[in-house]
Amino acid sequence: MNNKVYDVAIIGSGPSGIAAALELSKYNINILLIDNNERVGGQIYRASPPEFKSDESVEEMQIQKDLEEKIKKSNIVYKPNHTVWQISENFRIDGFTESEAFVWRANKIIVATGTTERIVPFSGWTNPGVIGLAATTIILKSQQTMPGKKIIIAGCGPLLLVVAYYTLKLGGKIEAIIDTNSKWTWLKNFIFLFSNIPLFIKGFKWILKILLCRIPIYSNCTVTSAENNNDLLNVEIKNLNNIENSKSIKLQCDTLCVGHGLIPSTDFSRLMNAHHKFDKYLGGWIPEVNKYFETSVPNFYQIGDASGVLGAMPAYEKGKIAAISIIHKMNLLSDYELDQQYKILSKKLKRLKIFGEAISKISFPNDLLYKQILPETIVCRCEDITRKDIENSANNGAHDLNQLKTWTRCGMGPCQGRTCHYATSLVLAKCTNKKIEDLGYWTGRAPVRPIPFYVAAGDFTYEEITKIESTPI
Amino acid sequence: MLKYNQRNKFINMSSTTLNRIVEFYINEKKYFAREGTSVALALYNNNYKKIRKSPKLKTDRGLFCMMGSCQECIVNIDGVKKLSCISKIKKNTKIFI
Repeated sequence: MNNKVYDVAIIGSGPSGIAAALELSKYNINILLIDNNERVGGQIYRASPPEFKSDESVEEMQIQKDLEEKIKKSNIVYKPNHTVWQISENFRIDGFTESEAFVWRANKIIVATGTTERIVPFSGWTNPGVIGLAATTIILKSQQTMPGKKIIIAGCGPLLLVVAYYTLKLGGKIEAIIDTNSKWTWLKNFIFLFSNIPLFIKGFKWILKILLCRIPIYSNCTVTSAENNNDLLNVEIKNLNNIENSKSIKLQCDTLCVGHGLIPSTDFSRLMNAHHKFDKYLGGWIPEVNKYFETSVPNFYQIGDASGVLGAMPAYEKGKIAAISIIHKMNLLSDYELDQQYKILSKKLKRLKIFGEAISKISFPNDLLYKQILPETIVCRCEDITRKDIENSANNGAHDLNQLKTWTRCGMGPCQGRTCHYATSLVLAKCTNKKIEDLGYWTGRAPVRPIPFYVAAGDFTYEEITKIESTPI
Repeated sequence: MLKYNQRNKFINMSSTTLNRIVEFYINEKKYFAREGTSVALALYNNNYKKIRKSPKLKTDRGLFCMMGSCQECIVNIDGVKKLSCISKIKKNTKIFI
């Protein structure tokens, strides 16, 4: 075991994790940067594996290369391919690679774990061939290929445009785009998008490309079922306002990409028992943070989209704000300097937030989507829990999420509730007539990611095993 | 048509010419892919979409989140159960599903 105690440990090397790390590295601070991906950049600047020789398919790759270069030049201890599975009370961080387990200690921890995808279940969403929208962006960006030959893109939010644009750019065929938002919702938030002109132009370019290629767009519609038919999927689409009675449109595809916005990853803040609050437009449950993004656990920071989904650019500023607070705490920055720097950064963050919040409003799923979850639709994919199972346990007295967990094992599977948290809350809220925020959130439990047993056990000889004397009878 | 051809050219440029193509095995059957490709995607593109059965209802499952979060794509790679979405194809990788 390594006895070195790092000044700061940062988990996640996406935009905000890197921003914090680079800001801290300007002062002589021991920084540990851990990430479970092979290369820096998180999901937004997701790079191809080094074996791939060309990165030209995505413009963002230049930013990723710059960041990678900066990390290499700095004094940051960077650990790619390391997955963290636990953080304990005294800031002991447990991680593992494919072959080894690690223990690190740090005085301060910054969590920048980003988001996971939210999907409102529908009949057949567990079928092979139905994949996440974020998953599709990863395939398009880092694998530089398409997940299928004939795809349908469904859900809500800006990822619809991203996936459609890159698919067209790679020469893919899109059968249809199914948007749960009406055109009116887009227009309503249109004016706020002018707050960030470069991003607005980028988005406009995407929309133009989609319109030029004449992709059929179904607004205010949702996928209600996807059934396997040999190698293809039979997809049924219905109008959102009248899911029960309206006539369905039938389409066929080999891959259905679906996603309803992003949820902040609160695995570690829940594990540390930090206080959380529910904010619909910031993605759901987020840790309560002060203005420097420090959670209710002292010296435990949560930044980036993990503390509220706003996008990559605000994430940079959040990272820098957390970093200056830590530098100040280590007496390397005076009160005055902290105030000055905070003023500049928060002003920038406030301006960038306008764009992020408008996008969040488009990304949050409409409450009417609840109707697409039929009684026999699987809600928790890991444990095969259907809506009926949840309703039964609610009728038997499970009135919050944690009670439901013990009743049904919902959210106890290998994914630890990352996939089904929102859907389960939605179903339980409807059948108990409560608001989602009154149902609470699942208590964090380690291991956050499954750790292979051979890794946890490590190498040891028989002599090293502590022998316990047998209990006298 | 021209536009389509241009796009096709784009794919050829980035996918095959510069990269090493290696062989790998799915259930002892030989396939080829670009070195470094995600195992989950290699399975998907070779029409091995059903890679797992769910524990209770025994329904088919496959690639889903692609970022190591959902744990749906675990397969046996070179004798060890791993998340296929974040594992890579190397020369002679042996996958069993």
